[in-house]
Amino acid sequence: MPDRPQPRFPEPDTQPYWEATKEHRLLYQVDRDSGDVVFFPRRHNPKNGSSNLEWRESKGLGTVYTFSVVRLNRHPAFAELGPYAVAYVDLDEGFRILTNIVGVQDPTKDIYIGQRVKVAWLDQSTGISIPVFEPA
Amino acid sequence: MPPTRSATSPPARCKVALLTYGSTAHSDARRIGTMGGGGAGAPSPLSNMTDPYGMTLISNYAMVARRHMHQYGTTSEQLARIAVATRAHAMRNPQAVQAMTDLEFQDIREITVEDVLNSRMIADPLHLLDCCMVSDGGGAVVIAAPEVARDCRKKPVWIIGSGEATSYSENGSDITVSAAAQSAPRAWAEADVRPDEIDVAMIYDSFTITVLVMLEDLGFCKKGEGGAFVSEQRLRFDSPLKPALNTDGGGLSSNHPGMRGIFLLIEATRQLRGESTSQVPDARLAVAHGNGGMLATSHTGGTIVLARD
Repeated sequence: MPDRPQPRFPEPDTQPYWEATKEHRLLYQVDRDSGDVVFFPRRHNPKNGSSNLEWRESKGLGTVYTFSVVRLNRHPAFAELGPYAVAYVDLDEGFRILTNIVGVQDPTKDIYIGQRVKVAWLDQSTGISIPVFEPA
Repeated sequence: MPPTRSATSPPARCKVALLTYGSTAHSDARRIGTMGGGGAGAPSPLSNMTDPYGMTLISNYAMVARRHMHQYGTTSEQLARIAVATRAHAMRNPQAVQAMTDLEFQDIREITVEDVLNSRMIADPLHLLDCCMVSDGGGAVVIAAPEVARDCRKKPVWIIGSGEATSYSENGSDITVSAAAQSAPRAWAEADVRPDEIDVAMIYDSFTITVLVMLEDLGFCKKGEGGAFVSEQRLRFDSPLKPALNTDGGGLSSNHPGMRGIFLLIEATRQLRGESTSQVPDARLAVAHGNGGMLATSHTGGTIVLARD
């Protein structure tokens, strides 16, 4: 099966985020002035334009906000995967990430909204690691 | 066709505008809904955060459906009613039947709720018959100043209100609320009409959930009550309960070349001229609402209210 599509660089907003995944660290940003949690990574807080942001590391614990089990994706990296779950997970630190839910017997039955999940890592041949989530 | 009579418009230097759209999405075998993963175009923060996860367009909308079901108890049976009503309209529209024939639909007939639920799952909880087709297609609309429109062979249909909005998903946002919640109130205010006065609702039915969310956000019912709203004997052109929905057969069953806004305007106009193949008796007011982008992520909404003389 071909590799999943990889993040591509140079792309300055998300590059530090993906660099940190090489050490299995899940980063997010906080506006030092307003306290707003910023995600996905950006150079500016989309709420006020401030660039006074700092990086923080998430504990990787969260809750399934919503999900769908994909039965048909013609992209070669996913076409042979069998049913897999795409989800939005709300991390405890207050950010929402698009991800996959893994580590369940049957994604059509074993995933539910409100489920507690924790980060897991899919190491890639490119060196980065893709954060996904499994039941906590 | 639809000229504007907005009192707030500046004096128009443009007297006639032509709005066109065409696409050969089917002939090009474009996998609009089932080709998740991207990897094309220049990298962006969004593409870098989404490409690795294999989110198809259908699964993006399906995540809205799943959340709507969780928050409000909406069911697949309720969503299916939208597909059932639009197919009934499509079967009355020879062009829609031709399109389904050309696309080699296996079973071209009216469908039931059970048919939708028994069609194969594409991205839970959306089944095949919850999803629009991918066809070729095109259309054109002429928008003219009143003095020009009055002189035309066809009866004019008036644009009496419009609104547009963009919506982004944010940390903690409610993805069951679409950009229509912002665009529709502007359009209703400009038109000075209420949703319950509308005879025909032309809503971009990329998926059944798209319609359900937008019926709510357009104000036909309260947020969360869309499931109950579509379960009543409504949506059909011959129902006494307004509004009739997608009387040409919609993207679900007549045509969908990748976008659908132009066809919403065309069918709404046909209704207000008395020319639809599923004509609502004495239709006087219609709304067209288009949605672009990814409903669970970032998307746009455009609402246009149309009236006849």
